[in-house]
Amino acid sequence: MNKQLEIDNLLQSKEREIAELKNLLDQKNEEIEQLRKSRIKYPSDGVIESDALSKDDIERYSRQMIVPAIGVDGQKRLKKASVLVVGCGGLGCPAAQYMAGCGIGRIGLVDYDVVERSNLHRQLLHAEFNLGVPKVTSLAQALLRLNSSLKIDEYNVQLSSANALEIFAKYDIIVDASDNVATRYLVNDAAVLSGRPLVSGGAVGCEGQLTVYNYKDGPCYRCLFPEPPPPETVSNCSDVGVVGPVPGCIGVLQALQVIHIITEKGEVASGKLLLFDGVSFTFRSIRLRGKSPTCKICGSEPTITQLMDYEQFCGSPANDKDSGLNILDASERVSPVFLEQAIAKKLPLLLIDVRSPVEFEMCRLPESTNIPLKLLNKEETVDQLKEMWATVAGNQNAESRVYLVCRRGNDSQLGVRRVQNILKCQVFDVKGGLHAWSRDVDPSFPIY
Amino acid sequence: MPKVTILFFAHARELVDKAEDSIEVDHKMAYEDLKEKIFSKFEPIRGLKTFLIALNHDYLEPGSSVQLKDSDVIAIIPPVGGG
Repeated sequence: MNKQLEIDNLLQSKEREIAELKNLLDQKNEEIEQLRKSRIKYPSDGVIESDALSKDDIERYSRQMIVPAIGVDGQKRLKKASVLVVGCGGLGCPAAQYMAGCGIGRIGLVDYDVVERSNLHRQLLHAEFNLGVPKVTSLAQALLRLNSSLKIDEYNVQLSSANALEIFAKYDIIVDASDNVATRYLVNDAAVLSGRPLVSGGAVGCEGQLTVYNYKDGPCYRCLFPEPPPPETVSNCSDVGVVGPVPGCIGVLQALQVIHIITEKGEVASGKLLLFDGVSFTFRSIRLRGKSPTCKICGSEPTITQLMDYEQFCGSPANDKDSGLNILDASERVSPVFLEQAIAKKLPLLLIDVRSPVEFEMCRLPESTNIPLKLLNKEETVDQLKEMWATVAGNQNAESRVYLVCRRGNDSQLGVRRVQNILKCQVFDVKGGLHAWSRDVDPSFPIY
Repeated sequence: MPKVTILFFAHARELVDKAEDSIEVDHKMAYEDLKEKIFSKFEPIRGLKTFLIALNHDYLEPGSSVQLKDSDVIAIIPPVGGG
């Protein structure tokens, strides 16, 4: 009997123990659940599960939440939003910087360039120690230093017809901070096809432009520019230069437009083009047309239903560096090393640098004379050129040569034809220009 | 004939080497005639091909009829590639 009682007691004790363990398990599960809830999750589809603002969020964003244009609802929307920035340069740095600052939950960065010295004067989130580092890496690190709570996606690739739609699908809004026309058409078409608003900025020299495409009934890039501009008529920063604060200003305004689209409180610059003229220090806002019914991609009967070859469409490469001009016969082109030898042997030659006077002033080969390409056809230049040639060639015309040089070997090719027509002598282009000279002959010569 | 101010932006400014000028126009002109009038006075921008024309802060639609008066401001706005 006693034995029976002892067993019963033991059973009860074990059952109590199990019940206690079950309680503990429930308690631990609840704790885990609480911890999971308090942590923002970024699953692979990019949807952020929690929109609750943390203590840190409230402290960090209080100053902007107090402003009616954002508010608490706006801040929660920013936290849940995802934005893709195409181009991590003069526009992309300030745009991404302010987007990171204001707490946009997830920012994607696309660029395939590395940081170069000529970027540093305006692309201010790339530091000297980032030279040679992919821009997406350099910018992502800078953004995380500003705001470690964000998710930054890096795409160290060239945006193309093959990858654009897949990347765009992961984001709510697209920011065009690119540097060339072919990419602008690609970004526009991909934004239209994936139904994403496109905040587009441009800056060159001392001028900036800003507008929002594909937003509600507003126009897209093709509604305004159905045909691509001839490549030689589009200014880019590499050729015309750019004053840092100008893209800085436009990029910051792009971030503000992104905020307006997300919070739905401020005015979105759809159907409106903002022009900033940094020389006369004037902002102008031009009222644009609405969506064009005949637009090939966003009109009522679109004929473009998939992405195309944009370099072919625009007749120019999707970067701002190399027009890849090749109009001369191989026999009309010499290497920088060949030119160096001709100079060393003191052969009779006329070396014409066809860059702009300011570029010639920055750096030049000592043997060269500056005649800018656009002056080569002028009457007074023709006379000057003939005089110079007579001095060089003298009575040994057969051995004398004219060489044309520019920065990268594109303008010099155009110049060769003109000088051939004027002087009727042997004229050569220095292949690859001063960049190639620096690479192959004299590394101390600046590359810009 | 109305005399209007004409503003050049981006590459248009480089081509004519100035930011601003003026031009005499008719009171009423077809878009294409206005464009041709501008080209004939500022020949270098003919090569631009793709650009917007705005009148007093309003985009002009190709093919439309344009009313002009003294001191109107016309802007020539090519797209910019850079960033």
